[in-house]
Amino acid sequence: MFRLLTLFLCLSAAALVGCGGSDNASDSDGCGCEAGCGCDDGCGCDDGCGDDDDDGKRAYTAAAGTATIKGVVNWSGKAPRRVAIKMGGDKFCSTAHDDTILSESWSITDNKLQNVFVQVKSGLKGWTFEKPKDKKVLDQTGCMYDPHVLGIQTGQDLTIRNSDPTMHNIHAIVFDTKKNAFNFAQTKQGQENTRSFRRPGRYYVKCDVHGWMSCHIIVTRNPFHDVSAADGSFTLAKLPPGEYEISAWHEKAGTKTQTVKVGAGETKEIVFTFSR
Amino acid sequence: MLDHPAPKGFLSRYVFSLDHKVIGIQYIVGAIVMGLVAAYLALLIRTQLAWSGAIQQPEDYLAIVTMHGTLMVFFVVSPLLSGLGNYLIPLHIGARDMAYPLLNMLSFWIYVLASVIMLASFLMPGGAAAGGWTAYPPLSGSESFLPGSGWGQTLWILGMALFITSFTMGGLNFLTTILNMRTKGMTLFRMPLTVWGFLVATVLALLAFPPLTAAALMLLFDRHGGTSFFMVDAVINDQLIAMGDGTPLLFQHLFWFLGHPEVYVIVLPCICLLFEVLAAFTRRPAFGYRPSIYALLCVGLLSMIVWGHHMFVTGMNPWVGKYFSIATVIITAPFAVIGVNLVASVWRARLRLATPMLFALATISAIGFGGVGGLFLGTMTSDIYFHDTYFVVGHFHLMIGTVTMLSIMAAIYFWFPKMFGKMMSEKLGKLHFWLTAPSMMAVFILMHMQGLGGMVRRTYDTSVYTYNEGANSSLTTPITILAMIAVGAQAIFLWNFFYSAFKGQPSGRNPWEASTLEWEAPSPPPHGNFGDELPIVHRGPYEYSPEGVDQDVLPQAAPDPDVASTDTEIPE
Amino acid sequence: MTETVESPTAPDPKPYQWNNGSGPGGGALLLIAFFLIGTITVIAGFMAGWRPPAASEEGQGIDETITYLLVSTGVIVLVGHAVLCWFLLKGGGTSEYRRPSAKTEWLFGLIPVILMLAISEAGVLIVSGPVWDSLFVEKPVNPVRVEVIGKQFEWIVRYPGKDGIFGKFALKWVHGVDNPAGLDDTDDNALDDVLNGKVLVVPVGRPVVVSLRSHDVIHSFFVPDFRVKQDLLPGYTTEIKFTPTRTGKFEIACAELCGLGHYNMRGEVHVLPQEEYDTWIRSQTGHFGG
Repeated sequence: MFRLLTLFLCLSAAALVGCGGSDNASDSDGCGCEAGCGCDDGCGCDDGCGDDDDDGKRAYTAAAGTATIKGVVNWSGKAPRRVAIKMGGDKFCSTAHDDTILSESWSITDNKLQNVFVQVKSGLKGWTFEKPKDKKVLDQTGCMYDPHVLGIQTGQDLTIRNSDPTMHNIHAIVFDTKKNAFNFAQTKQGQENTRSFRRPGRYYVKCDVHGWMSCHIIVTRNPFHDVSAADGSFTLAKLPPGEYEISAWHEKAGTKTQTVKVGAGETKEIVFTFSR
Repeated sequence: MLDHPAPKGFLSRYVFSLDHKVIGIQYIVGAIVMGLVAAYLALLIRTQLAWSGAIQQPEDYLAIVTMHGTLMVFFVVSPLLSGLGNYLIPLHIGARDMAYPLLNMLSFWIYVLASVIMLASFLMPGGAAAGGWTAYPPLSGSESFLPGSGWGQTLWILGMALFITSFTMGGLNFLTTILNMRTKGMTLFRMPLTVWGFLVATVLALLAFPPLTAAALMLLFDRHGGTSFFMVDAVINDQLIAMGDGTPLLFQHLFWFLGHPEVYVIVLPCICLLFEVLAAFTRRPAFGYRPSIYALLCVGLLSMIVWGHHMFVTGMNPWVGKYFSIATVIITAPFAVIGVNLVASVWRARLRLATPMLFALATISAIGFGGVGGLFLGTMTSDIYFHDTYFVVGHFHLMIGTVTMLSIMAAIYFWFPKMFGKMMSEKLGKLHFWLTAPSMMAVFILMHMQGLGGMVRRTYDTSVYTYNEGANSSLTTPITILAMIAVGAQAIFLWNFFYSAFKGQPSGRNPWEASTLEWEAPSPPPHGNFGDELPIVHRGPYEYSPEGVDQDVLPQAAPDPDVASTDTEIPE
Repeated sequence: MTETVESPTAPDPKPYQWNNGSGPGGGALLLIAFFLIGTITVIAGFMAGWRPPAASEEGQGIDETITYLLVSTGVIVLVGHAVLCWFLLKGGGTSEYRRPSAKTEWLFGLIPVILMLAISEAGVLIVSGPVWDSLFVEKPVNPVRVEVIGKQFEWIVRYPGKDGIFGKFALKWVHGVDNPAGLDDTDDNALDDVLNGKVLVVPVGRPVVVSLRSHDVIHSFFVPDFRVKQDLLPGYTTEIKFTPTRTGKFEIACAELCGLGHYNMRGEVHVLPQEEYDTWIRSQTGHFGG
């Protein structure tokens, strides 16, 4: 009888440990890129694939990066309508802005497209990159995310700050798999939390309390990425010389790529043009 | 005699014991341990509400609320009653042990296992289950909705399933023992009301728990097996997540089909044992023994067909809502009978105001307040307003929190001498009472008032709503302070319990001069409870102040004083 | 836990000295004071104005039920405690004691049954029945129809627009601020549908029928001032009706646990005079510009 009981207890304990051990999926590492190299828009996993069979790995240092790719993102045609955000009903948000806030998914001024994520998609095979020391910041201010599109390297710390005297929750999903990445609340003004991402990929972040608040976090393996500014400009600096495939991704307009070759100390200018 | 021999070693005597008395005490101690966890969680909740510092995050708060509720209902109060039932039933009916001693032991150890798994929920990534003790899907069905609905919720389901297994084992044991193992002369209508309470509660539990098991397993399949009994397609972060086309209402029906009878499973034994305590300390028979039993049976029957009163605002057909309301408030009638009988039991008492009696009297008051609160929630339109407010929180804490805890305290103080052969300290007991009962009742009655003001339950921070300003929020801090007093006072009880168990004044066989069978056995009763001969029952359980006899009490086992015992008719 | 092995009939080793006190004693007086003061305080407390003033016709009906129950159960609780206290006060070892007969016991079983059935069923059928019917059974006259969508953790209010018809929707079309309600932008009826964030604007004095649906989990639409509450079930459409009786701003709370932002799922109802409401609704443009 006691043997039976002991067996029962052991089995249950084993089941318990098994449950606990097998679970890793819930934290911020579930990027869909691990499945293969077929990530399309915005996913910076190309250079990470196939590294295993490449013996000639070189550690990247700032000294190796002398080339620069600069450019601008244009918009051709009529700018799509931007939806006005109604913040009424929320005690804080409705009083946070004097003028009407428009949706950030289309942000076009003078035919320049803002919030386009530009990155080196391929051409960096063989390079390895250290985890950067500086932090990226995702701020929540006036019930909006700042920035709306954010690039970050794997392992790099992301400080998430709530500058509003109201509660926001930061709910991130891995875009490709729709799996939960993280979901937590910041209830107090000035509250800061730090997260980092282990796998490259695109994360879609929303505040569920304020449905208009959304932002994109794109995690890459290399530090060469930028988000187009209000004047459409972007810069990829300190690249090692070489031939690169550069991709530009916009949440509504899609992805465009072009190939650029830069030599040591050279600066090349490129232009992306999106339209409807 | 018994089919299992007297234990020899320490393990078989105190750990893997087959003796119902040891298992009973094990249950009580186990429940006390879980009770300390649950009470600590309660204080965390109250601290957050009163001084909304950044101690907890909302996700933590919900996990704490959920686990507090689950632990209190299923892992504290239920096993406390399992413990009392285990200890008392064989002694009360003159049996040497429970019908199935091995099942009894397994029942306790599965409860321990269930507790461990339930507490392990806290260690999971994403935290403990946070979807409320009711675990309504879809919220509890996917971690996309709530971090706690990840592995924490899975462990919650497994813990619940194991607990139900344990409780069902115990229930079968109770039922078989009560029906089959009564001693000679112990007819059903000579059983103490405590045993009646356990009998009805056990039948209810055996009928009501299987649907919850089903619901829990279906939820488990929904979460991990890709089914969609309860889950519905949802939009999360603007992405459509295909979850199926189930019906969330089904879970609520299954849950409350258990949930409502479960309330009575907990409350009925607690109310019934009051009669016993009252009789012993008023030196009068419990008033209305038979009417109370019939009222008890009515309550049991009605409790199975009124679960829908938890769902008035879920969008059920209005005629169904009406039916549930009409049926629900009928319960007040048998309950009123029990209430009147409890009060009438104090009529013309020769009052002995010892600690168990103080607790018993305060419980009557709590039943009064809790009972009428039920009318507000059972009446369909007032429930539209009160549903999911603090009125509900206050009401069920008054019924299955205060009534049960005060009554179980009365029981522990009352039967402690039987369990350990020692008296608990009266001074400390009275101090414990005067700190516990008023503060506990005040806490939950004040919550009713917040509910009257419309304050919504399970809220991390009530100051978001302007209507809570003023009256509602003015009560929050006082409630928290009172709750701290109520919980803190339990330290006195713990000290009293464990100190007295070893160092208390010896109690002797029958310190309260009570009439029922357990007092015939030595304190503590030996293996096999009674000596060579089982006691024979000659009369009903509460023959205090018998007429025509110059005696304070006629114990059930005592032969008739006037006539020779051999002449007494003994029903088989 | 020492096991004493003795036969049941053996004399007690050291009997606990039992005090057969006479008279109510200090403890009983303390208990009486506790019961009486407690009960009266509680009843007075409940009668005091804890509820926000009712601002809808249905709410006034519900308030009547609550008042009825407060008064009737208040009397029951007060009388019950008074009797208990009286017994405690008298309890002190009266020797003249006759067992109550079985008849008395059954009578005392019958009286509470009749009393409680009368009080409680009158509350359900007579006091609260008509209110329930007006909420769920009777067809509202000339109602304003609005849709309120619940999602973690906000309300989205939708009006049918100029054509008075709600357009098609589906969850797959939901997208953030661009299409929060999941409207079909190819459906003409949907083009003029007005979305108004978390603010429900309604006219005073007319019944408002709110259709409720949820995008994710169960929520509960609760307006404390109106006393109405209705769950939102994913996969279903539920309805709640109310008739505001005064203008002003009221709060919508979520009453069913819906996640970590549950406590913050706040919305507002703005009740306007009919003319102001008409002006307001005419000034609104459809979400898709229609």
